[in-house]
Amino acid sequence: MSAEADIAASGKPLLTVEHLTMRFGGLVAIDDVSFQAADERITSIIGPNGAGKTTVFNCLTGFYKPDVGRLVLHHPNGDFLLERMEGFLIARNASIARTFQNIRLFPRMTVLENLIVAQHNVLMRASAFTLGGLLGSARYRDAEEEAVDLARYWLDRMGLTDQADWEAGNLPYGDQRRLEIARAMCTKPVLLCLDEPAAGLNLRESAELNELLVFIRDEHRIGLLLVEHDMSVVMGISDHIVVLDYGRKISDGTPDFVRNDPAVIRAYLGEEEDGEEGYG
Amino acid sequence: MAYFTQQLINGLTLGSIYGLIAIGYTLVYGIIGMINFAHGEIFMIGAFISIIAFLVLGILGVTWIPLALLIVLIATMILTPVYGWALERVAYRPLRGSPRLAALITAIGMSIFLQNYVQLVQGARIKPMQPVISGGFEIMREGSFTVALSYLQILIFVVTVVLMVVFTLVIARTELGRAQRACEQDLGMAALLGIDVDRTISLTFVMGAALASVAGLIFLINYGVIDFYIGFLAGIKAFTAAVLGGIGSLPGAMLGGLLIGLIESFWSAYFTVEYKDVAAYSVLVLVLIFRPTGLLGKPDIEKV
Repeated sequence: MSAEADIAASGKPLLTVEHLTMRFGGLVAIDDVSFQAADERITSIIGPNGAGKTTVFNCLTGFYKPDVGRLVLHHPNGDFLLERMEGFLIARNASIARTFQNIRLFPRMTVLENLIVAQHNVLMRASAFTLGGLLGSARYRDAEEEAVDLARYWLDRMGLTDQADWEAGNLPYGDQRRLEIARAMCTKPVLLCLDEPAAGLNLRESAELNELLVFIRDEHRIGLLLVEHDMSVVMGISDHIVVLDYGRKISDGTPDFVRNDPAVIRAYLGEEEDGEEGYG
Repeated sequence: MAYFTQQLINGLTLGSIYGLIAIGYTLVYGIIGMINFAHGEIFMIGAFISIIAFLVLGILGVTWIPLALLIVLIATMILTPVYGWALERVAYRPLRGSPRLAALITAIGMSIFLQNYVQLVQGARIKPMQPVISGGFEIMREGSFTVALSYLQILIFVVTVVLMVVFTLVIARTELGRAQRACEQDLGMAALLGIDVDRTISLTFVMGAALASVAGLIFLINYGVIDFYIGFLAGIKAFTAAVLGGIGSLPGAMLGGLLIGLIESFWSAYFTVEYKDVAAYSVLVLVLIFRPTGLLGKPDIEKV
């Protein structure tokens, strides 16, 4: 419980999850989980397979409606109760962006277009619901230019500038992962949720990923919520870790605290003592 | 040669109508993967709204033909989509996420409903209309046979081409089109980027209905008679056209429409009128056997 104090000390809360419970028939996927994620910090959710990590994400982004619980996003524009919002409003108003374990780009759009479509709402407003776009209004052209600039910025950062006109489905796997993160960032989120971003990456790529996530935290000053199995990513960059097991929270705190928490070691390794590099 | 040219012109006129309707099928299929079998009825309603608009204009004394046509075009393009929008809102949206068969049966039900609705409200008798545009060019003469290209046919081509270009641009260039293409590829992900998926789907129905309404207007002024049942055959033909061109593909729908129109008119001209539908559907069967995705459709690769 030192964790709660830690967050308060290290950053202002961005996301508050209270008593989240999600059942599928008789299966309790998440059982009364509460935690906080702070602004400008990287919060990781870890746990063995089937612990309910992705389900937490699905509740946050409106795919599932939780049975019990409150999900509050402390947005600069005010608090949003996520469990009551429709999916697209969570992205549009509460500014939560998300990536997937199995990448979900728009494969038959170009790389650049994937990043433009992420700025849909800005462009829609600027084009007065599309009419302006058709007539080529100045306001729409400016907005589109800005959108392309933002897209170019992320393409540069990801090293994808040369592939801007490729169909996204033709990119190599590692590039697709980075493009998905770039697309999420183009929505200008306040909270970025990443579902196993290191899955399928080699060592070098996952080191680059670490760097990228830290860059996003420090330069773009947003909160990151991470579900991850790769402990080199989790332990390397997390400011705060929440550990789930069978849908329950078993530990919550700084990487050092969690690493040495007997409950975590038990969940991962049975009755071993040294959980330093525990793999899920 | 002259006879051939004349059939070509007739075929293209007919094909324009099919193409305009087929776009509605293909857009809706592309975005939510259902065949909107009530779309033919939207076309029929477009024709009815056009004839009513002509009558109202006649009563008001608007007799200058170009102005009347323009007003009717705008009226039907605004009023018919209301039906398309309501159709989606009332009948299809509540079923989203249910098995495909449920949506399909609902579509057929809505088709029957709309037919009967128009029959009740407008009566079952055929509705004739005076030709609004007459005259044309004689572009070729061979013996006693003259090839005529009427002003009406020119107008039909121009309107069709303009509309197809505009709608292609909307989908390729505008923000709405981009959202539609995103929804087509991944509805859930589009929502996660803040795209209002429900509204995008509604607007797709509205666009399809707007094009079908123009097809209805063209049908009305080209043939001069309509009844509550015209939507059925035209709808099936346009659906055939969309499948022929590759359902989900916009250029495919236009191409398919033109091909079905040409096949029909050439078959009627050189073989028998009675079997023109057989000819059109036979081509469909052949295409489906040898190229199941249609002429311009891309094979749908199942993702793991």
